[in-house]
Amino acid sequence: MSPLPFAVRNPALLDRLQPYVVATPDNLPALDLAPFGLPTPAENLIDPLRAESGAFLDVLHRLDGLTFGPEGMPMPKWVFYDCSELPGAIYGFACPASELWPEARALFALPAGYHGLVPLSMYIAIPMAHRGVWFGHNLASAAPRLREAGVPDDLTGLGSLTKGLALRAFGVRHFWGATQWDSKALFIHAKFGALRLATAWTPAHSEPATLTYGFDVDDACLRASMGDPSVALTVPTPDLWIRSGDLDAMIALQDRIEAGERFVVAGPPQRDAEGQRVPIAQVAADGVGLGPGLGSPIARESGPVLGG
Amino acid sequence: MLYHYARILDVCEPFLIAHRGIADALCRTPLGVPIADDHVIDPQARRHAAFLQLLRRLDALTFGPFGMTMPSWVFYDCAVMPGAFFGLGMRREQLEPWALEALEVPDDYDGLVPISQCIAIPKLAAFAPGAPASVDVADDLAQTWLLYSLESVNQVSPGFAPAGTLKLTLALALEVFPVSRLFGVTQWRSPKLDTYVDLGPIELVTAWTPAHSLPRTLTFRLERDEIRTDVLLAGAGTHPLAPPPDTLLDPDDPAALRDLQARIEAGARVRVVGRPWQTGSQIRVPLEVRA
Repeated sequence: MSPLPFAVRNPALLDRLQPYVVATPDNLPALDLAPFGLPTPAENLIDPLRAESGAFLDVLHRLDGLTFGPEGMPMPKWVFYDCSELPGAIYGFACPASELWPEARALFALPAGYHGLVPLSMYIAIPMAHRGVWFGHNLASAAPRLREAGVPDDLTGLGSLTKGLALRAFGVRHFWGATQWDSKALFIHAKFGALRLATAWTPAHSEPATLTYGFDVDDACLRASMGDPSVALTVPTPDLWIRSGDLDAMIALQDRIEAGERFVVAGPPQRDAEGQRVPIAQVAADGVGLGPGLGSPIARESGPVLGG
Repeated sequence: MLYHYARILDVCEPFLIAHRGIADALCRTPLGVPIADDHVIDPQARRHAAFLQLLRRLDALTFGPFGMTMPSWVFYDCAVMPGAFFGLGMRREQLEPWALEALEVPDDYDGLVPISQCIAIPKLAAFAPGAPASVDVADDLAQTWLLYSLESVNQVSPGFAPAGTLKLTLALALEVFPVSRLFGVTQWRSPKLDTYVDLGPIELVTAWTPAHSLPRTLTFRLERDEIRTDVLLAGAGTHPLAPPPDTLLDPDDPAALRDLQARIEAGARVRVVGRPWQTGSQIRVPLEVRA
């Protein structure tokens, strides 16, 4: 029986894996360590300020490398510390080294004698300046690499499960993130419903063909993202499509945003031989802000928020 | 106090990079120095791309030698979006040709050229029950901040900008951000440790940090009422709030750092109470250690 009060896409993940949290002692009280009732074992709370946590954090760094190394955006270790562990938190699923598949042990290059947890997924977010507003900057899952390595268990849905529970654990009320127009991750992000567009062309990012997207967090969107079939989110009908290689279209859309028009990503991308195209719908502008935390009013009572 | 920094204020202009969600919540006249409206930069507006590129170049110049250049996705995801930047810039006509070349200022660029920056981002602890809130701002605004980056082009090329740029940037930035509690990270051998200690005795959160790329990294904390920007700016060297040291730490001795870390983890309160001393190849950092 699932420990969560709703169905998820792959409940076997919750039988096989256990949650962990990386957070400093002063950040910890601001977190929900039992999101949707799924408790994080006390021994799985990792304090990055303690020297003894170094071994686990090295394995976590390896997970990041396994996930993002091939795409050229692995995180330097200092970024893990300065931009993740110290300001925010990390939530994920792990497996004790003693129960790990042999293929995974090789993939993670675990040091001899390592008997601790082996993280197989992680979600990192850091708070923005206003309570309840967060920026998510890293979702990593070893599932694709483990599948390639021949691990027999089905780890489908690990990324979505991790992000959904993490947002709940962090008490996120308004979420922002950035991704590339050609990223497959847009399929996961679109599971949360319509995504506000704050930027469509982002020169401040290493890859200007980046969109900044956001959504309000509530139980429905979290459950939908994790595959609860009882939740159906509605998104507006697309007015236009952005093709992943069409830089002129991104810049034109950015100019319209800067001129005050507002848009949302209205569903998952469609992939074809030329890449993917992303559905966009125009929505009514709500003042000059780009959304809560980016100049628009922040609702004080909606959605989960902790530490209030 | 700013009298001593007139040379900087004569040639430098402050700027603020802040998205529209936070720009209005930050102080625009730190220590009475106004930030011009056209120097408040929306990082999400396409027209500011050239300035942001120069800022990334500044970061690469100052942190590159340490192997810690900020990947530019980090620049956006972990600095622009969660926090804000305060810094000082100069007009290109005030910069030497070699300086323009070093910063890779495009020939057709006639805007402000950043020569220092201080980045701060909120820390989740700001929203934990009981978090300090000594600054009079909206109650949903973070008041616990992480000093994420502090840099001046003088670090790599003294004489590029007026002397004192780093200190003035930090002093002004601490007025820009609503800081009730400040965290910071630096390396034991970094000259910036002097600057931070001039703010006040800094309490160590870590002394040996395996989670960081450079384990000889320290993490520190300072409360608002312990921060004395006047002492920082005056360069007194000995902070009036600093107790006398009872321990001298060799920051080049990993075993000593590990031992200190173990004492912190065991509950000791450790503060750096003065600037490091150097004699020959030996450095000692004065500490106060309370079990």
